[in-house]
Parts: sequence; structure tokens; C-alpha cells
Amino acid sequence: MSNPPPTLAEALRSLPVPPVSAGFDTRVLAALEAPVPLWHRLWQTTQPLLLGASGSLAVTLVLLHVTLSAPAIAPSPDPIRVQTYAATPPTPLPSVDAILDKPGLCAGSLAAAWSSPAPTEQTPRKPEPRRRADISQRGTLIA
Amino acid sequence: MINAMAGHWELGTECPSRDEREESLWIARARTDDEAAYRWLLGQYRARVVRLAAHVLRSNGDAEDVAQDTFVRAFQQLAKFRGQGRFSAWLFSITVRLCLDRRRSARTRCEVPADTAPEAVSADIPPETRLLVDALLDQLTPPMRAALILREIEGFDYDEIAAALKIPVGTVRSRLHTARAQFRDLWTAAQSEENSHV
Repeated sequence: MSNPPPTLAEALRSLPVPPVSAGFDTRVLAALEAPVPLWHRLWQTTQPLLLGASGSLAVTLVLLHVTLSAPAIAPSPDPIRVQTYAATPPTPLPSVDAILDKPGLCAGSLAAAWSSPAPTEQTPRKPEPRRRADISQRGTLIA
Repeated sequence: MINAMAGHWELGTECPSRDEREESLWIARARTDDEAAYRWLLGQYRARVVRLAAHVLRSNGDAEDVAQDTFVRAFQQLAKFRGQGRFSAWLFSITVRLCLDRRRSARTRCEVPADTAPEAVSADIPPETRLLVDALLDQLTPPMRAALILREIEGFDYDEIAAALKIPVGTVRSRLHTARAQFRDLWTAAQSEENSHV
């Protein structure tokens, strides 16, 4: 054995090359000419379609499972509004006849009655404007 | 982009040599089921594919079977070869994959192929060295052997080996480093043993 070590590449190239049998090429070419099975051809053509279909089916099934397994919860109302109405006692709606019979009837009387004022606070009532009829009545009285 | 014959190469990349252009021409003809083209490619790569398979499998009989399967598969799937790399790299990647598959199936059947029959022998290297390399190859795993053969005999770069073996480039480097270190250790041990006998 020589003292300087050979390179690994040199040593590997020195390894024997296995012989190839005489009919090698013929066997390869014969295998290429052998008819491809029908299932193989079908699989080759339908493979992309089947893979795509199975993928989308899997995604659909997962989504369906998630949707069906979720608990059915009714849509919760606005929590702020719930607190407000729970704290205040229900106020009866005034009847239309009572509003119309009031002496100080004006254009906004009905709207003011049906709007929901805070039950705790009573907004001070503005002094009603004098009517032209009153003024004319008073004028006749003075006269 | 220049689309020349079967080989597609882009502007700015290295211009193919005359041999590569000729090979591209033959590959283009093989795509049209030309038997002469098949025979030309077989003549070019038959011995190299068999040698690679024999070293990876450590079995000459299995190597020929794998080489045959390699060519059949390569010719059937020639449309998948886009010409982005060397044809040999693509062909050898099929060889290595088939070798590893065969090893896996042989292991599950508890078969141990060990019928390495030496044939043509290089005269420059002493037989002791060949025995050492044989011992080294026996110690390595099949993927390591494949990396070693592709690098040291076929002259592939790390990227091509990584693509052929489907492993990271860093793994290729470490495998080759380990293989070289093991060869050095074997060599040193053989030398010291010989010196002790003297």
C-alpha cells in the first residue's frame, strides 16, 4: 500500500464497473412498447379532476361539521338597551283622546307624548305660546 | 427566451456546449418515440446508471433491474423533463429514488443483497485501496453512498445532489464530509495495521 493516500474520487473510480447484459436495450424498448393498462391511462387523465374534487369535498365536510356542531344561540339584543329598559318601569302609552282633549294642544303634542322620555326626569314644560284666538278674545273683552 | 430543440435555456444563463445541444436534439427526438433516440440515450447513460445503482445497492443483479426501470420510467416521463438542469441529473435522481425504494422493499422482505461481483478493474489503484473503498461503501447508508458517487464520480455540485436526493444542501455537505472522514479513518487504520505487521 502506497504511503500517500489516494483521493476518495480516485479510489471510487477504481471500483469495478458491473457489466450490463446483452439484452439490456432490447428489454427497455420492449417494456416501452408494452401496452399501458386501461386503469393507468384513466387515472392519468382523471387524476387532477379527482384530486380537486376530493379536496373540495373534504373542505365542505369540515365546514359542514363545524357549522352543525356549533350551539344554536339566538342573536343577543343590544345589552345597553336591555339595561336601560330593565331599570325603568314600563310606562303606559297615553291615549290619543286624552292628548287631544288637553287644553294646550299644539303640533308636537302627539310626538312628544309617544317619544320615550326618561321616566326619572321630567322635562320642564315650556310655557305655551299665546294663540291668536285668545288675543282676539281678550281684545274683544277689553273692548 | 431561446427555445432551441428540446433544451430550453434562457438568456443570461450559460450557453450549452455542443454535446449538450446534441443531447437536446436526441431528447427532442425521444419525446416523439423515436427508437434511435432511445438507443442513443441508452448508449450514453447505460453504464453510468448501472454503476450508480450498483454502488448504491451494493448488488450487481439488482442494479441492472433498477437501471432498466430507470430508463423505462425516464422515457415514459420525458415530457416532465423541462431542460432546466442536466439530463443526467434528472436521470440519476430517478435512479437513486428507485434504488432507495428497492432497498426499502428488500428490507421489509428481509432480503440482504450481497452479490457484488467485480468485473472490470482499474490497474492504477492497488487492490488494498479498492478493498478499503468497498469497506467504506459498506459502512455508509444508501443515501450517503448515492451522495458520494454523484459527487466523486459523476462530478455533480451540491445543489444537483440535493435536488436528486431531495434533501437540503447542508445535509449533502455534512454527508460528504462524514464519508470523507470515514475514508480517512479507514486509510489510517489500514496503514497503522500494516506498519505494525512490518
